[in-house]
Amino acid sequence: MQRYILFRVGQSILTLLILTIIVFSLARLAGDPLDVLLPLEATNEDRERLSAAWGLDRPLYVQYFTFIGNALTGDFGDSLRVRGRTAMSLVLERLPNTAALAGVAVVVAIAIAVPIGVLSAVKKDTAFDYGGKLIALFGQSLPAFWLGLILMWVFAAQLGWFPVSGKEQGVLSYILPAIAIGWFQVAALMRLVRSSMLDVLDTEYVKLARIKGVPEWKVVWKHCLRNAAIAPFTYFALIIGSLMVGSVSIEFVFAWPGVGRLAVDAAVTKDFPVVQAVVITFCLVYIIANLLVDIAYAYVDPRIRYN
Amino acid sequence: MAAENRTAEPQVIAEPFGAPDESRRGPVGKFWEEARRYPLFPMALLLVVLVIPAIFADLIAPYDPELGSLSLRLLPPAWMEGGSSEYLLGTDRVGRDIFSRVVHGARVSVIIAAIAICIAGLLGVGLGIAAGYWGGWVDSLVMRLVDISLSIPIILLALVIVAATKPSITNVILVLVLLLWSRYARLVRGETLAVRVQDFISRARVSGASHRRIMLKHIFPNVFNSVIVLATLNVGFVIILEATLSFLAVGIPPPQPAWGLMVADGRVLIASAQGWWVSLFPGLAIMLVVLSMNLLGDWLRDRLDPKQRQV
Amino acid sequence: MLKPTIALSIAASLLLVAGIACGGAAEEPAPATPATQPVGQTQSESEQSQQPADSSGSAQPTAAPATLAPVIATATPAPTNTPSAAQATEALGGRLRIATIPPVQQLTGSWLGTTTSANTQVRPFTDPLVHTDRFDGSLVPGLATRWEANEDGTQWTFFLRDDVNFHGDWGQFSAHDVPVSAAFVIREDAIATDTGLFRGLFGDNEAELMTNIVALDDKTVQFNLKTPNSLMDFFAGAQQGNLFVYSKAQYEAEGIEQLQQKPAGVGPWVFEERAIDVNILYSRNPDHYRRSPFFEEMEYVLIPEETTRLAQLQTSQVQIGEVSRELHIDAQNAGLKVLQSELPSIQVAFIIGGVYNPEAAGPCQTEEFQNCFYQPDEPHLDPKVREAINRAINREEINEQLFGGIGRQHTVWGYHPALPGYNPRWTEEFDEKYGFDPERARELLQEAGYEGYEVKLLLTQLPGVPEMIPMGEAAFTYLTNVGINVESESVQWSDYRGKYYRPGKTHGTIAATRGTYRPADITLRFYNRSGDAGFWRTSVDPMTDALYDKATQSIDPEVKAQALRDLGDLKFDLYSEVPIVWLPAQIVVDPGAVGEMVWPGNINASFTHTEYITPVTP
Repeated sequence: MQRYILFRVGQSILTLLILTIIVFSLARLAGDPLDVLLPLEATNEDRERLSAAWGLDRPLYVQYFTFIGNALTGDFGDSLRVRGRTAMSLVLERLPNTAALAGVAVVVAIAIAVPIGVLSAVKKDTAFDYGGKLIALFGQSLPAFWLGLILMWVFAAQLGWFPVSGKEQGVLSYILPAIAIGWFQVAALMRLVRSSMLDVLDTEYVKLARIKGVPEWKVVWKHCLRNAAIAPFTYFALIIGSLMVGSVSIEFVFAWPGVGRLAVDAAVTKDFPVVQAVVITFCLVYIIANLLVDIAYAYVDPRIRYN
Repeated sequence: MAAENRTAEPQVIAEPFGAPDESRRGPVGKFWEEARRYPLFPMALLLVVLVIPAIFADLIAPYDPELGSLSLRLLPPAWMEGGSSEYLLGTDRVGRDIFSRVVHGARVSVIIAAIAICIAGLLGVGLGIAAGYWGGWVDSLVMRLVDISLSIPIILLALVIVAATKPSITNVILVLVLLLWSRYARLVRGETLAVRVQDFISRARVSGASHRRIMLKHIFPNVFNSVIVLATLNVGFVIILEATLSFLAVGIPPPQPAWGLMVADGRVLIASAQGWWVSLFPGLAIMLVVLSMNLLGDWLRDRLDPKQRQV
Repeated sequence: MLKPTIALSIAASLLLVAGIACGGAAEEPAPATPATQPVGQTQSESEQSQQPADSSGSAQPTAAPATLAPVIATATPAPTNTPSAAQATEALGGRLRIATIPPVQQLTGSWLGTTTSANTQVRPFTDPLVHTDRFDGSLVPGLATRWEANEDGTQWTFFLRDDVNFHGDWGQFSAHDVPVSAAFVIREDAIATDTGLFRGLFGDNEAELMTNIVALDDKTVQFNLKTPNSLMDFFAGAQQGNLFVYSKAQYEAEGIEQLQQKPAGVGPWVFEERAIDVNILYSRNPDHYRRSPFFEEMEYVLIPEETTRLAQLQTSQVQIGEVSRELHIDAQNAGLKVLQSELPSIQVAFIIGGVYNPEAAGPCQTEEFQNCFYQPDEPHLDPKVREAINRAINREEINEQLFGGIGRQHTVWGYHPALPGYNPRWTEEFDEKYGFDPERARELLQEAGYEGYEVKLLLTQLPGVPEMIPMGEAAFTYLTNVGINVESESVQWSDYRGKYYRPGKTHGTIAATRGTYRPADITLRFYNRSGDAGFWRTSVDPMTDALYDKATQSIDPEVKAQALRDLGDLKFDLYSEVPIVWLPAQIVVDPGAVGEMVWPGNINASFTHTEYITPVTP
């Protein structure tokens, strides 16, 4: 087991290393931050002066090794767009906001998807099955920003049930953006729950429970769901990266101070220290989440520990 | 983001199987059962909203989708007060006919979805089979690439590509391929691992079949169905992502008629009495297509899934 | 067996709780409206400041900035509003919340960003030497009560107030704070609008600057310029946003990093705190020499989406909001009010790329700029083609349909009738020479031999003019209709410079742009000159550079105006750009909460003078 964990950790470090090269090159490909940040009136002298002040005039490989060296100590440099702030401090300031929203979105997704998934498995091929499927699919058939804008306009601007934007008003602030993000995940999640449930419902063990006279609701909701829940669990570990950045349009619509917006603004203004910090952070989150899932599986199912 | 992700641990996800229990179905269920046997409903929808417009766009659309006249700006749909029968779904912010743009937009959507999914599918299937079949360092390499692809925020990638080049259909396709290939690779690798250990593979090997032949003739057909299902389910996802890219101004460049672009472009007026129709109609088109592609995908999945055949 | 669902739910709930704990703190106080007006209410004061020019005896038209008032004669408008600093006033309203587009550059140091960023974020909490009048945009006393230039425009002396205190405990403002603040603008990492200009005028290091900007005594500061400049009061003023005053004492005690965290200023508002991309909060300075705000606090709420800002206004969560013109009718239908700036704020035009011809105009001043984007066979070099483009575009339709008819005639890029150097001939001849005439446009293209030539239309957008994209799309139709073969490309503004300008690839392109209401030579500096600071280099004639230099270096207003007029004549007759409209800045307010709001609007569409905004009093 220890060997397996070591092996996976080693793999993750390799992944991270490759990623640093990719993200470094990508950030440089995006363009020159001076083109964005210098005023129109700037002269060539201004450009050279800033270039030197920000270390942009050094050879790329020197910049890369400086970046790696500093990154190992957690220093990703100063943001170029938000002067006076380090890139990492901006990311860490935003990460909890995005994580919290993603967390609520996952709860929303589960709250819609699990009942639908279970019902449509238990009542397979009935109106429940198809109706549920339609509800689940609906969230996936609209661009999230569109759904978000409509939710905001109806429930915040017209009905006034929720705040329009921002995150100042506590739990209420989370509802609309979380629905807009979470609903999108419902379809995939529902499919997983449904097929896992169908699988489990057919096992000897469930048949036995039924024969023994365990009430049907208990069979379904306790015995089956418990076993069927493992697939969705994996699913969220896999999409954790995209779930957080996938909410970027929603962060714009609801003026949510999340990492997605930070990343987009950084990419647009060529603020590459921030771009680098965001990508590396996300990669870490993704790797750790998947490492944990894999290790959890390895504990549960020894066959997975190949080699 | 993932449209469909039954790829991680295929062994965990079992498929619906066996004939539906007759006694559990009501009359509504029977209707749905018919619709399910032949998914007429989604197919008809697709035909009307996507396929026919895409093929016959030039015949159906009354106006040039890229040219408009400011004097005809923001005419409401024909049935509303102030609407004109010549502009069925009204006009947009630059006075272009929305109906013509929606019709032509179908073509753009088809092109993008078809090309992106084909390339991503081929790439993913190739790498997935190679990784699953060979194992070892090939597997390690492919899976590391998959990890990287899954952990890089795709939106950032899109922004960088567009900044380095320019917004274009090609770039949208490139972004989609970079996003999608890893899903196919993961799925196919998992299934290949399962197929590889089966008897008929070792028998083929013993009878002297080359690796290439085994991969093409024995493994590929066994993973093909899942790939088709995933591809079908991905169509909707591609269309939605195109809209998200347009939202961030890195999608299809205006004035081309693309649904996502139209929705993103019209979103300022989404709640406005002056022009809610600008984003509504392309939005409806997206919704209908994604919905029916997903229904179709689910149907295909129940029909084609390899688990069902193997059982 | 694991219980992943449960574990996941718990984890998510924990995240949720954490999120709420982090974000649940702020609450929104409703603007309080006191029953009575406090003593010393300065109703008359705002009227006073309407006519600052009266006392200076300026001969300029009222709408002209005082920049252009004779410089040799001392510009000494009498201080218009002089409540003594001790005369503290009381606030009438609570927190004023303003929904704005998140600025790209979020800063507290004016040296870290351009005019617009500094004017929106720095100007509330600190003052420049020279302020702008909120009605006519002219230069009026700020921290300087008066100022004068010597004969040749190389020495400027500013006489300062002695009754101004920094916020917090940083003591009284004196002349010694000025060189320190100016030195920020030339810092190594400074990117203020005129950092380059300041380095040229004062020296490129702090030591040299200190010898050129000298505090003669506590209330007199002298600027000794290395090259003559006729607009020093303008560049030291609020509108350009370079030289805002910071505290020397704070800088010396805390250093630059710390100072940026919570800078002390001398402005009507006190900087409190900011959260990047979320908000900026200011509190009221109760004894400001010009005008203490009517509201207790002011908060910018930064919101990227148009619809979201409108919804914030409709639900009264903000009282003022930047809302796209397209939604103004909806805003008005919802009982909101649309206000506009006193002056035109933005000029909108299409810039024609590749019009600089070194063969005719002589080599451009900077070698490495790919011969100033010159391509020998470029159709845009032919004035007939440029006229055709101008005639293909229906300005009236654009103004009516996209700008709701609020636009005013724009005849020559950079020039406004109320600013010096304008030639009335342009107004008279505009319809004849630039009027919408697609037939004539086709003929011209035919005559020039460029029928169906290919042009790349760059669709881009700048803050303040969200209509730039639809305008570009409309141009796509207009140009196609006269037979030009148009290819459009959307490009983020942030990519334009790197992709087109710097590599010298503007030839063959047309792009929409917008500029500010300010003296023509400042706009022309980076549009029409061939020199280093030129951005588009759309100089069409060899005389451009000579006339430009004459205009900027001349202290005599008549000579200056004449040079500008000659330059404008060239631009007008040779169709160097495609001027579209002059627009005022606009903002949407909640009439139930906001009484009077007046601002000149000469800062790229943004609003200023927030200290004068009044709450609604019963």
